[in-house]
Amino acid sequence: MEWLTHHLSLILFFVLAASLFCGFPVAFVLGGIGIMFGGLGILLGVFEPIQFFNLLPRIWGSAASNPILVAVPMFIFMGTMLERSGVANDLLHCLQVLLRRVPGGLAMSVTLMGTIMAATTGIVGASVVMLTMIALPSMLERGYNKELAVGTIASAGTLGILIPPSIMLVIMGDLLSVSVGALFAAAVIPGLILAFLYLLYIGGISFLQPHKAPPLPDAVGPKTSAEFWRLIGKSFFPPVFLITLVLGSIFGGWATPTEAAGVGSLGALLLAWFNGTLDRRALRDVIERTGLTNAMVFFIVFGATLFSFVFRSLGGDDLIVELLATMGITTGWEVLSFMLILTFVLGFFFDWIEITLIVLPVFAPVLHGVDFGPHIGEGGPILFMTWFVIMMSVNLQTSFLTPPFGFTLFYMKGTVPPSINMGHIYRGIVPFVVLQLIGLLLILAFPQIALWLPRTVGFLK
Amino acid sequence: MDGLLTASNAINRMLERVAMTVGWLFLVITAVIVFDVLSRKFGFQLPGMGSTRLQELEWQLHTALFSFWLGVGYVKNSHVRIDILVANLSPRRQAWTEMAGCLLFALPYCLLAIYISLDFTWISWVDNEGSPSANGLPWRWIPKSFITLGLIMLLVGVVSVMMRIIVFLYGPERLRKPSSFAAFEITD
Repeated sequence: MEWLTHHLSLILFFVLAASLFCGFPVAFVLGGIGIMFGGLGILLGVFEPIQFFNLLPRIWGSAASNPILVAVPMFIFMGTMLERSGVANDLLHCLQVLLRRVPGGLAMSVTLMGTIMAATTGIVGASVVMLTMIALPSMLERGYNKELAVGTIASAGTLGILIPPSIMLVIMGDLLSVSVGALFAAAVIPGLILAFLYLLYIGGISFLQPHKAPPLPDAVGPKTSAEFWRLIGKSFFPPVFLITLVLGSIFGGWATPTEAAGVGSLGALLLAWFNGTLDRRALRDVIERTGLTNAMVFFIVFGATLFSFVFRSLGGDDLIVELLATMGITTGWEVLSFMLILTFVLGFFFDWIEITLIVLPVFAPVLHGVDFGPHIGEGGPILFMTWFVIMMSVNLQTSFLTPPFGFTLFYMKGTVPPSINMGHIYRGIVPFVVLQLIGLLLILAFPQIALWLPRTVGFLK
Repeated sequence: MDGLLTASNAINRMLERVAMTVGWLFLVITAVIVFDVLSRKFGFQLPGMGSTRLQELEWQLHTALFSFWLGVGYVKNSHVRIDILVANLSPRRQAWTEMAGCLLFALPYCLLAIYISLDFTWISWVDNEGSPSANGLPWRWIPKSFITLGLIMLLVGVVSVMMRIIVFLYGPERLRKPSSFAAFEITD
């Protein structure tokens, strides 16, 4: 009995992990399991019924009266609008035309598109489905090597969780009390390094084995230079300008992420209007998709709030610290490796929303005690948190891509034509997983890759 | 059985209509944010609409947006599920799993949350709670009641799904396809 009471929070964690696989919506499972263990705690005398009344103040504080999180729906709205209005499609087409003489140009344009349009919803599954639908057909039509095509698309689709504006960084920043601006700034250089590694690989393989990446025929694209500049002016500059404006106003300290996202949403509406695609039907469609995605994210916040607060009330915080100590995980590097491996495994099954909202609150107390001293430089715990979040992001990206489970691959399988099988997807993704690991190791070894920009623009001391 | 399915369809349509109507607030929030940014930039202010109020308005509108979409999110099956282990079960088993999930997780959660939330909103109403900031918005019970209403709509959505499952499991063959939902959806 004593043992049961002491370990109740741990049992809760494992029962939750198992129950999530029953296929019922995650948010309900989180809430339902939370109630069951709260009830069990009442029976064992370690939980008071009155404590359940903390639920609403907590939801109110974490989800509702939280100005930072208003950035989440606004970025989703902006990304969905850019996609629905055809701006994203035009940008991809424009990049394809621009790169048509470069070896692997078609694939490179997908990577660049993923880098520029990282905002597009920020939900990995949705990004990958969208990119597959707009980019894969033209690659297959040109006779691209199937492995190269799917590998490029899957990797570009996961860039969105790292490259700002990223709604994952907004939520992680909020949970770990790090400024969202600092995280956005910290993610820029790692994101560009990854994109650069992808481009290098695509360029290299296309140069060495040209049959794998046939170029577009010369007939495609503008005939005159006037036509060329019109294409650039219409398809390339507007979205690039919009994203630059949004990020620039955050990094320049002129706007909070929420304000930048709101202005970005207006910008996306204006672009759609210039494009002639802004009508009632398009608006309804964007509102519906944004509303559903946003409710999905915030409903998990609801469920996770109940779960993590019952977990904590049952003594979970202390138990986790104690447990890690008995496993011999105490130093900074040990805690960090443990967290990265744990989230890597979880990333096979869960999107970042569940991982962030379930795992981070559970392990946050351990993280707060970590000291990396000279490796990351002077600046206190906030510096570690910033670096940690960026590594988590790259780690999750890698996990989402890693066969046989990486869940991006399953989304992809659901969208590709039947001529592409799981084998193509697995083989195609392996080189990109290797590139991801190189990126992760670089950031581990040289924390300044992540920390230099936020320091320079003044988000971190 | 036909009646049950008709009722469930009607509920779903109603949830959808409310959510879509509230959804236009995305445009309102965008306008409020842009207005706030511009008015601060140019040092211009509408009487009674200072920056504090506008910023509170932003998150209060957002509270309406996520709350009123919870229920429709469930009946439209857009809440995330981890279904890789159960994806290959037969539609009947899927339906049973969904029913078990509703009874074990969704119903207790909705009922408890609604009960607590009513209390939460009620206290705010009785206290005539306003913003803690002197020039903030009054009437905190309004955004708080959004959450209560949203949770009630969620409960209604759960009941609607349970009605469909009953039709699916026990109804006549011809209602099988129209009542199928999410994991046990029959498409062909």
